[in-house]
Amino acid sequence: MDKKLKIRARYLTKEYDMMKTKSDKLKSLMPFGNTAIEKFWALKGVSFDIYEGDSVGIVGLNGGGKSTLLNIVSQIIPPTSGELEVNGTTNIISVGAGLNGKLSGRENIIMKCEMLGMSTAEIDDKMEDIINFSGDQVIKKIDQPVKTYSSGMKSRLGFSVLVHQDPDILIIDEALSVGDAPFFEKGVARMKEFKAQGKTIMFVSHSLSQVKTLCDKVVWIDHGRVVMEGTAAEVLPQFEEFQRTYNKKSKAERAKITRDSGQDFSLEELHEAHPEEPISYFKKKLYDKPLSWPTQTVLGFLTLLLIFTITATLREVPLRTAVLHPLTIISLKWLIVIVAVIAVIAGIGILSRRRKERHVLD
Amino acid sequence: MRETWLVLLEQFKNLKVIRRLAKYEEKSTFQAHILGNVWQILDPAINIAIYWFVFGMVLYGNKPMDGYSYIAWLLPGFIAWQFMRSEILGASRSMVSRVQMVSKMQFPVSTIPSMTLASQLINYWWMLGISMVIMLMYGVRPSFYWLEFIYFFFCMIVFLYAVGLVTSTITVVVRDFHTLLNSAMQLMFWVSGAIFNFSANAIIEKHPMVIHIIQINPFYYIIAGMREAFLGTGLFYHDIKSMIIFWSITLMLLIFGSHIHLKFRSRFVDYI
Repeated sequence: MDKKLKIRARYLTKEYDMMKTKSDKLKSLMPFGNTAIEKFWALKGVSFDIYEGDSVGIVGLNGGGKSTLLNIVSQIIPPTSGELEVNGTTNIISVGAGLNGKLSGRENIIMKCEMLGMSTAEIDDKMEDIINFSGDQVIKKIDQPVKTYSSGMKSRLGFSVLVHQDPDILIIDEALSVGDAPFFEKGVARMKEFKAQGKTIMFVSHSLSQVKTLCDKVVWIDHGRVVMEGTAAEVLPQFEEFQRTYNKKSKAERAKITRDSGQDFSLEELHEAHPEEPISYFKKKLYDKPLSWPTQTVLGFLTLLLIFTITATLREVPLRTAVLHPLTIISLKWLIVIVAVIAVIAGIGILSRRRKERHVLD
Repeated sequence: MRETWLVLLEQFKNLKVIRRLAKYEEKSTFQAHILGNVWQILDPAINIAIYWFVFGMVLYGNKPMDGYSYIAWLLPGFIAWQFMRSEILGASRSMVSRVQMVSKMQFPVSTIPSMTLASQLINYWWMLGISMVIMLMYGVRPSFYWLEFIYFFFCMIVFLYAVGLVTSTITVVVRDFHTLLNSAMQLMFWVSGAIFNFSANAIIEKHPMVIHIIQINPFYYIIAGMREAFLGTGLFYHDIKSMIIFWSITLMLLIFGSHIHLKFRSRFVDYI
């Protein structure tokens, strides 16, 4: 294989909090770890390789994790665990990318492009193309506020901006369903152009005929796992078959399957199933962890410093005296009381953590 | 700590984008107004005129403050307060109002509060320019003390960013927080020393404890500092205690803010 590796995904997982009540939302703000909230695993260890020039279609049922996967690959949301290596710039195109209604169409184009990291010269260069691509209606109103546009015009404008970026890897999330038939044709033509340039495309769509025409490779994802991978001719017939049987099930039954499958997973299980892989693939990443111990130490130190200085200020003791003779700002009796309270709180914390661990072991 | 570092790094990497996008925010805020951007100066100017009249003329009877007339004393602190107030309220809403826009693109979301900061800052420079002219008219002369402005300006920016990071994230999760913050800022206005000179008040002087409690307030630290800088009444390193209190509060906010920001950034869209 001499083709360059573009995307390498290893055991990607994504866990969401299921926030059912308002108090759950509040709990999730607490910095010191919280395990009481119900979790939902949207991805359960997805691995694949995508090479340069591939156009890969992702198929699957609603709620199967397709959009989550695309968002992770385009680095909009971080995975909970797993390794992702992307060589090159990615660009995700999806419906409903926001515009600022108060600004004119032209200003919105500039703003969007800036957000996507284009330079002023590049924007000037592409401005005409972008406007022309979005259709006659938009051309007429380009200098009027976007809030006066129809919803179709808005999404065409948004799509047009995104399609004129020049990424190595193009990720399309159902975006071709925007607009009327002529616009759709233009969109498909543009995709084919990308493909002809040898760019990598990842494509999610519910229209299997679109997948057939645009993609050489298809990945079928269901309930967060890769079910099948292969050429369109191999995968699509089987997927269609599966879809037919699934549709016969009742609504309640389908909802139950989705809910249960979201909980029926843990990173330990995934590691046990693949013991040969390095453990780092199965560790949660930084942002989902509670505060690390150095951070906790610094925070604790700052709190103590703050309390100490505030006490010195309130007692009108100069700082030098307060440091040399701490007892001038606080009597021994109170100091003992405070230390005792801290010790009790810390003790309770350790005990409850132990209990939780034992609970997990059981 | 690593989280804080990551968030700060993102700000520096995207300085250019922040500045340019802040300009568009300016544009869209007053887009429907006839007077347009003039409102940004007119609004605080009217405020200053009111407080000048009520406190300077009626209450203090044109009595000089720290050796200067009331208006010269009022301005450096008041415009800093006005800036901080609108920045904090704007930043706390910034994430909620803009997350839809950036949700489907690769965009460092942590720069959104900075964008509000940058757009409010344009405003602040205008106000500062105008008040400098007024201050010069009322007998304030440039001195080396003005260099202190750099230090207090730095304090202000770091503090505001830290607060913005915390409040913008919390507002996404708990929408009531913005309303609460609004009320809190009302209270803060009266105790932050923006319009009162606490040290010139006979009643408060009898109860030094009140002053000490007020001094803990980070807003007071900045406002008093700005005054010291422009009026040349003190040097920032003389009050080490206030400095330690201010910076430990700010750092704690920054660490806590970047932690919850990173924790929630991938889920902001789910909450809205």
